[in-house]
Amino acid sequence: MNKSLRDHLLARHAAATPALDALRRAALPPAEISWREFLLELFRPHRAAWRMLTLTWCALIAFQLLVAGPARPPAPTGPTPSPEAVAALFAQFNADEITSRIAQIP
Amino acid sequence: MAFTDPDLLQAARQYAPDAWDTLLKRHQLPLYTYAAELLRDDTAALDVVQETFAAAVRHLSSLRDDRKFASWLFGIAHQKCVQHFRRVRRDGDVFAPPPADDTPDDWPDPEASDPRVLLLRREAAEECFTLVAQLPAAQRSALLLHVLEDFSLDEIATITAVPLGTVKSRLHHAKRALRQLVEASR
Repeated sequence: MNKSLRDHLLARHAAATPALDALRRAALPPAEISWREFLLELFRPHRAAWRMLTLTWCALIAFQLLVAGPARPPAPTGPTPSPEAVAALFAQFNADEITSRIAQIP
Repeated sequence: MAFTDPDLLQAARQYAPDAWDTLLKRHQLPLYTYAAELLRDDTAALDVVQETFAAAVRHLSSLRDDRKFASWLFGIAHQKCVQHFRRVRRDGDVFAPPPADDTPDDWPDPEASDPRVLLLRREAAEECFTLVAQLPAAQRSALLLHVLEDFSLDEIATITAVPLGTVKSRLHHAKRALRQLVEASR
């Protein structure tokens, strides 16, 4: 049976079809991507950068801890002073006297 | 029902993997045939097809008209073939226009002598392919695009990135050279 020139041309190279099928399958884009794959692809190509960033943060935290020194003890919280103690405290400081002394300062 | 290229492209843009598979399968053998006949190197032709597929999937957004997917795909393949020629042969541009400016004003060949519809027996076809392989690369490229995918002269001009007149000239010279080769072989 006579075929067109196109048919002859294609038949001439039909033996390459298995190789072409493999190339085609390798070129197909992925259909869907799961969240896990998305996160993996987010971090996997840049592992070195993420590693350096983590090391830098650890170094900064360690440096901060070393420089800050030991923690100061909290201020003691004693009972509330009585009104009599407060009055005695104020009696030690004569406000009028203090004001007049300030006025004498040149 | 056979889906057209625009239908498959629309599905492919919505991440349907079967769409891409069907689309590439439809064009893989004509693409490979074009590259193999043009480069005369089966291994290089497979590389061209592989690179063309990868470029098509990656740069689909650059396709302006879905109806012209085939010519767009062959345009990518043609550029890959040109790059291969430049890597392998560093002596001049094998796709340079022909020296003589005898471009015909119209397409003179009647339908009866059109190689696209020429019915051949296998022996005659093999003889024809042997002669086609002797043509210069630029003429061979235009002839193959014309025969394989029935591209119009405008589409061939777009694929090969040359003016329409150059395409006409190359086809004209290709057919004349084939005629001379046939007469010389008798």
